[in-house]
Formats: sequence, structure tokens, C-alpha cells
Amino acid sequence: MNPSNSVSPPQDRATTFQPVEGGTESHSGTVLLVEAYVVLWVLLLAWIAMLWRKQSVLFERLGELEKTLDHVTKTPEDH
Amino acid sequence: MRSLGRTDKAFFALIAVATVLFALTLHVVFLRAPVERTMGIVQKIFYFHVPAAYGMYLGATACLLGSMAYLLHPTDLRDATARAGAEVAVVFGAIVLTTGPLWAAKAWGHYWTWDPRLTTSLLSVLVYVAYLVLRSFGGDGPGEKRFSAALGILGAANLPIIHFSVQKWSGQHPTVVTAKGGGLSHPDMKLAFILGLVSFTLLALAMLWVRARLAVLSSRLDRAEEDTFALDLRPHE
Repeated sequence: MNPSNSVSPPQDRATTFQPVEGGTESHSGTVLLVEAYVVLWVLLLAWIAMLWRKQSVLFERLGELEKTLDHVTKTPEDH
Repeated sequence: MRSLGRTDKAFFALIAVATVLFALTLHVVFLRAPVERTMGIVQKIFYFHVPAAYGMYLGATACLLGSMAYLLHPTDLRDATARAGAEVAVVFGAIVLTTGPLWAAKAWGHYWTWDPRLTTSLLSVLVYVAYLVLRSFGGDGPGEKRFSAALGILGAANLPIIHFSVQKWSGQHPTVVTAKGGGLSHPDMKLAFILGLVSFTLLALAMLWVRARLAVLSSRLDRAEEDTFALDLRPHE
């Protein structure tokens, strides 16, 4: 298909902007409110998830440390 | 099972009060406070946009105090308070910088403008993001901690500029909350705002507490690991 066939000629384009009384809004206030509320909770939950991940790293390191101490207490003659 | 200490009880009491107040805030914001005449329902974003901004100020203040205290006398707790403050400032700052533009899309017809308050708020959040990036990737030595503390103090210098920017420079950002009483004409609007402010403050305090505690634990674990290396307690391969 030739793209030039689908382009409107310049004289068909709008040349003025007409105001409409009581026209539809570009943004729904309800949708924006729900979006803002969702963002609030998503950010807080993401932060809690990040804290959980940091705790998991601490648990892993603590486990390694406990293993080391177990090893030392079981073989005291090595140290 | 370990019984709850006084600190644990205080923390759970804080969480309980914050939860009840949050539920009450939601009830008043969505079911009691009237819809605003010109902006409509989107104005209700205000009831958690402004409290989130106060949460950001609270985090930034904790970062400032922790950083100053750390530079005077370095301790794990002081460093942890500064770090937790920066993190809380970024979380609440992100809420402010996303809920604000969603409100603006309706009220101003565009999401963002380089208004003085918007610009200074963005700058402040970016300073705390830089602080966290430095803490995450810049090492954890005393030098890095001192440099971070200096950045934590520098970041707080922007807070009064954010607060007074709407009064000193022209811009589009509204000034509904003022020392003279503000522009919330209906008592339920005032109630929703006050409840939001108190519940977000308690939430920010709880977040600060949890994060600082985690950072202190991490520092103690670092030291314990260093001790095992120093005493050559690591199992030999």
C-alpha cells in the first residue's frame, strides 16, 4: 500500500480549536486517585521486600558464622 | 521462646497505634471527607501526598542528626540512624514525587513542571539516592562512613529551601497548609489531613526503627566476622 494515499490533504485538516461546554475530561480524577493510592502501597511493600532480602543475607552470614563456631568447638585441639 | 522486652513492646505498640490510625485515616479520607468543589475526588490525593512529604522531612532530619552525631563520635547506632533516615527519605520522597504529578495531571493539565518546590523536592530525593548508592557500593570503612555523613548533612540543607520555595519564588504549587490555618474549610477535611499526618509520622518512625535496627545488626555481624578472621577461627580447607 502506498502511504501517500492514506495522508489527508492539507485543506482537510482542522484550522481552529472549538471549545465545548461540559466536554469530557482528559483525566479521570477517580483513576488518578486509585493510581496514587496503588503507588503508595507498592512503594511501601517494595521497601518491606527489600528489608526481607537484607534480613535473608544477614541470616546466611549468621549461619556461616555459627558453622565456623561449631567447627571450632568440636575440634578444640586444632586451635 | 524469648519473651518480649521493653523495646519490643514499645515497637509493637507503635505498630498497633499506626495501624489503627491508618485504618481510621482511610475511613475519614474516603468515606467522610467531602469531595472538593473544583478539583473533585482527585483532591483526596492531598491527604497522603502532604503527610508523605512530612515523612520525607522526618527521614531527612534523622539522617541529618545521625550524620552530625556520627561525625562528633562514631558509633554503629548513629551511622545506622543516618542510613535509615536516608532510606525513609527516599521511600517517602518517591511517594511524594509520584502522587504529586498524578494530582497535577488533573489540576494543572500536565504531570510535571519545573516549579521551585517540585524541582527542589526532586533534587532532595536525588541527594538521598546518591547517599544510598554511596553506602551500597562505596565500601563500609570509616572513611566512607564519614564521607556519607557529610553528604547526609549536605542533603538536609535543601529542606528549608523546599519548605519556603512556595513563599519566596513564584510557582504553581498550592500553599493550602499555612501557619494561618490553611485552606481546608470543612472540619472533616481538616480531620482527614491531621489523621493522615499523624499516621504517616508513626509509619515513618516505625520504618526508621526497623531499618536502623537492621543496620546495627549488620554492623555487629561484620565485627563478629572480622573477629573470627582475626582469631583464625575459620575452618582451614
